[in-house]
Amino acid sequence: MRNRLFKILPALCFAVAILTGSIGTLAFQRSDYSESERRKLAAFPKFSAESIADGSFIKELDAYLADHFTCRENLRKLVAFYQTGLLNENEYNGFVRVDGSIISLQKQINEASLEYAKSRFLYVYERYLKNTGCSFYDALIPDKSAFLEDKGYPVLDFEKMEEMYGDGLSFGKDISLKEGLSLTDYYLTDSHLRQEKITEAAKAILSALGRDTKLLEKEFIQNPVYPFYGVYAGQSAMSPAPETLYYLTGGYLDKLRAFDLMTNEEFPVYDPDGCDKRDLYTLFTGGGKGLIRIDNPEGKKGELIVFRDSFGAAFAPLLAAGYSRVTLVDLRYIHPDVLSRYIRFTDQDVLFLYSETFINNSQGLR
Amino acid sequence: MVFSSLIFIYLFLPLTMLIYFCVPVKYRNAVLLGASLIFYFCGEQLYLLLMLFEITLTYVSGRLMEKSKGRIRKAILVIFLILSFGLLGFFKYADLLHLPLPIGISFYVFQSAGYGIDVYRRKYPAEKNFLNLALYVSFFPQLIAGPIVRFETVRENLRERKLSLEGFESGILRFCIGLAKKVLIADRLFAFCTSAGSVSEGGMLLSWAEGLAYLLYVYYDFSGYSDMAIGLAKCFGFSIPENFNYPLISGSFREFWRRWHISLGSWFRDYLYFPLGGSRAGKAKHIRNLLIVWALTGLWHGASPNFLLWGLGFGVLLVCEAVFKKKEKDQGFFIKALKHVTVMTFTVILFVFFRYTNLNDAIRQLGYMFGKGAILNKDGIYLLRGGLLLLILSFIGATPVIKILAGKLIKKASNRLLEPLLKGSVIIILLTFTTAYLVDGSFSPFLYFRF
Repeated sequence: MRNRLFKILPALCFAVAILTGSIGTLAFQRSDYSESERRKLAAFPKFSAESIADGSFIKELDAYLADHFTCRENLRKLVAFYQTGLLNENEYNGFVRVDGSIISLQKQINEASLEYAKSRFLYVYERYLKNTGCSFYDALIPDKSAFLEDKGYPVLDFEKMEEMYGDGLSFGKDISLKEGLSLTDYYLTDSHLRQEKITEAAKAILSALGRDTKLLEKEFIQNPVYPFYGVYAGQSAMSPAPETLYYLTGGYLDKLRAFDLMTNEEFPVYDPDGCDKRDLYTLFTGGGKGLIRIDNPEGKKGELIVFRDSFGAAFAPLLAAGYSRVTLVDLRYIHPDVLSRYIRFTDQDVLFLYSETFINNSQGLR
Repeated sequence: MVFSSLIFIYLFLPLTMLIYFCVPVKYRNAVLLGASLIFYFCGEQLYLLLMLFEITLTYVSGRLMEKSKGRIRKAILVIFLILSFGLLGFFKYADLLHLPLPIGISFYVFQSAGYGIDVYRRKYPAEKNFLNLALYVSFFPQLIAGPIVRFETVRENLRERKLSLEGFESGILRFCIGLAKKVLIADRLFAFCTSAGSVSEGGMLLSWAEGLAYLLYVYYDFSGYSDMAIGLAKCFGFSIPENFNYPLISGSFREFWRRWHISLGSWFRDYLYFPLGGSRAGKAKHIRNLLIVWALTGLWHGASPNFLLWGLGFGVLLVCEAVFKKKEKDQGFFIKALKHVTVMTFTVILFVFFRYTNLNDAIRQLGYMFGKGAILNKDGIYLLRGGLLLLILSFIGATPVIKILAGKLIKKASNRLLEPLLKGSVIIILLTFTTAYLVDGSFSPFLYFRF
C-alpha cells in the first residue's frame, strides 16, 4: 500500500497543487481591495456572447485569477525572495533595499513630466501671481534614491533635476534641501519624510523665506502610531517589519487650527483616529485635500501659500511656525481655475514645495 | 491562451484532463479536438476559421491525391502547397491589410504541408478520418509554437494509444520543468536584456553579457515551450519528438543545428534540402542548397531583413564548415574548448540580428560589443552584478549537467521511493514558484508565438 502510494506521488502532488489553486481561488470570496498594494482588484468578468467573441472575457478572467489567487500575498513575497534572495538580482519591481530602507529607484528624469509640471505652475503664476506683491520660492524634496548616487545605483542626477525644476520656476528663489537631509530621515517602508526628522529642513525653508524660526527651537512631543506599513511595504513584497510613525505636538503646534477651505469645515491637524487606516500617513493635515488653511495664533503676522504634494502634509505644521496663516494648495485635487474663489493673492509668500517623485510623475496635476 | 497563464494551468488543463480521462476511449480524440479548438479560439477567435480552412484543405487535398495519379496528383499537390503557403505568405509576408499574424500559423502550415507532400510521395496513405487529421493539425500542446510534428510520428497514436501512470507522471514533470524554464528563467533573462538594452552605454562587457543572455533567453523560452508541449502530449498518450538537445554544448555549427529547433531543421532537410540535391550534387550546388535552406530558415522566422541575415549568417558558417571540413582526429581539450567558444561567440553575434528587427539597432549593438565605448561603466557594473548569478546558473542549466547529476542521485539512492519523492517535490516547488510569477503578473508572452 505504502509503495503504491509513493508510486502515484508525483501525480498526486500535481493534482493537489492544481486543485488547491483552482478550487481555493474560485470557491472563496475575497476582498476586492488589496491592502498591501493599495489598489482595487479586478472584478469577475461579465459573461456574454460579445465578451467571449472578442476575447475580453478570457483576458479579464486571467486578470481576475491573478488578483484573487489563493495565498496571493505570500506568492508575491515568494517572487521577491526568488529574485533578490535566490538570484541575487538588484531589484524587484524597481525596488531595492538599502540599510533596511525600501527604495523605488528613480532612474531617469522624465522630461515630459517635468515640462508638464512646469507648464501648470507657469499657468498659475501667469493667471494669479504675476504683478502681485507676492514673493516666490521653490524647493524640490529629494527622493530616497537621491542618496544612492554614490553607492553605485543607477539613479537620476538629482542636482540636474533640481536645476531644471528651478529653471522652470524662474520667477522664484531656489531653496535646496538635499544637504540637510539623509536617508534615515525617511520612513523605511514609505517614500515620505518622517515629521520628527524634518524640523531642521523646515527651519532652512523658513530662513530662506526670511521668517522667524524661534517657535521651532522647542523640543516637541513625539506621538507614536504603531504599526505603520508604508506604501512600499506591500508594493515591494519584501516583507518588512512594521515601523512607528510619529507626529509632533506641544508648544505652538497644539494651538494650530486647520480648515478645509472647500467645505468650510474645521478638522484636526493630526487625526490618528479618523485618518484612512490603510495609509496612516494621511493623519497629517487631513490627507488628500485640495485647499487647507492652517492658522497659528502664535505665529508672526503673514501668510504662506504652499503649492504642494503629499510631502507638504507633514511639513505644513512646521512651516506654520513662521506665519500666522499657511494655505496649502494641492493641484491634484483642485483645478487652478477655481483658486480665485478661495484665495486672494496679494502680498503673501508663495512656495512651490514638491517632491522629486511627484515631479517625475506629474500627470495628476490639474 | 498560453500555457504560462493561470487560466490554462488552473482551469483549462484540469478540466480537459478530467473530461479526457472520464469519457470512453472512442470519444477521447473528439475531446482533445474540442479542447484544441477552444484553446485556439481563446487566443485568436476569428482566425480559428482560418485554421479550420487549412485543416479542410489538407484533408481534401490528401484524399484527392490518394485517389489520383500522375499529373493530376502533382497538380493537386501544387495547388495545395500554393494555397497553404499563400495563406502563410499573405499573413506573414505580404502585410497588405496590416492584419495581425495568426498565432501558430507558421507551425500548422508547415505541419500540413509536410503531410501533403508525404501523401503525394505515398509515404503513407491519406488519413480518412477527418477528426484525426483535424486533431493532428490543431493538437493544442504543440499547435502554436511547435514542435513541428510529422504525421507519421503520431499516426498510430491518433488511432490507438496507451495511457500509463508512468507516462502521465513523466509528462507532468516535463510540463512543470518547461513552465519553470519559461517563467523562472527565460523571463528573468529577458528582463536582464531589457534593462541592459535600456542603458545607453553600459560598456563592452555588458553588451556581451546581454548578447549571451538573449541567446539563453531564446533557448529557455522556446525549449521551455517545447518541453511543455512534449510533456502535455505525453499526459494524453502522445509521443512527439524532441525539439532541443542541449544546443549550447555544440562544438560545430552543424551540431548546433542538429540540437536546436530540431523539428524545423529536419523539415527543411527532408522537404527542401534533399529534394534540391543535398550535398551529393557537387560542391557548388551543395553550397547553393545550404544557402537557400538557411535563407528560408531565416525568413520562416519573419519577413524582415534581420532574419534573412541571421539565417544566411548561419548558412555561410555551415558552408565554411562543409568546405573546410577535415577528418576528425583525436583533439585535445584546448582545441575542443576553442571550438565550443568559437561556436558560442558566433552564435551570440548572429542572435543580435535575431533580436533587432531594425538593422541599425543590431549594428549599434555589435559596435558596443566590439569596443565602441567603455569596457564597463557604472551602469554596466550595476547590471552585471545583478544578473551574473542568473547568467551563470542559466548557462549551467543549458548543459546536461543537472540531468546527469539528478540521474546519478536517483541511481545511487538505495531507497526506491526516492525517485517519486523527488519528482513530487520538484512538481510542487516548480508549480508554486511559477504560479507566484503568474500571480505577480510579471511574465511575457512566448517569443515563438510571433513566428
